[in-house]
Amino acid sequence: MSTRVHWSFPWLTALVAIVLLSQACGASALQRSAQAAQVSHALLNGAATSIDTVCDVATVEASADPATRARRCLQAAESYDLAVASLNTWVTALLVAAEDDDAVEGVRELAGPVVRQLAALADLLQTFGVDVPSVPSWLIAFAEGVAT
Amino acid sequence: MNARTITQLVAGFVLEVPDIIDTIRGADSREAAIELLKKMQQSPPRDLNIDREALQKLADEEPEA
Repeated sequence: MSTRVHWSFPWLTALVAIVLLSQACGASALQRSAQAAQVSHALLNGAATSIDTVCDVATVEASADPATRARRCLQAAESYDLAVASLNTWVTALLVAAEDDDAVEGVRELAGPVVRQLAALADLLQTFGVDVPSVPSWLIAFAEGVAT
Repeated sequence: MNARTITQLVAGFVLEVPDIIDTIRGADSREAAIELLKKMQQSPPRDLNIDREALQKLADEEPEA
């Protein structure tokens, strides 16, 4: 998935929202949240591969403006760490709430920070010339609206 | 958005379909969903493999314009 993730950021971010919203096939709140978390997990692994590649020290040193690029890399790393922490918090809360669908619905708002950080990562990767389309602001708002 | 970008987006999405189906099938029951969550908890997204200290030194080399 990691090599194909660049073009799919908006699509998969949309999928996180749609899966959270969907009542299709009688899926429970827990199933929908687990699926959305899994898509986010896969996106983050893809993002990690991209960051490792564009922020390799030799690559940064060889760039036209190493200092600026290094700052952006540190920003991307911070954003990635926040996204991972948000996802881990969400997954842990889902496991604690797993026996009660109402409780699972209650922790759905924890998906919001994950969506925000994924969108921020897409924008940061774009500044490195990685072929990542921006996640549209309406989609971020939609996903956050679904989450809350 | 030009035709190339649209083609890339569509191609990217189509290539993801098998992974997406696996994801949906991976949580097709409450028990499977819990297992999926436990796996994610045990194997969170990996740490970045970058040299943050060296990047910080490079970042400190000159003030941001």
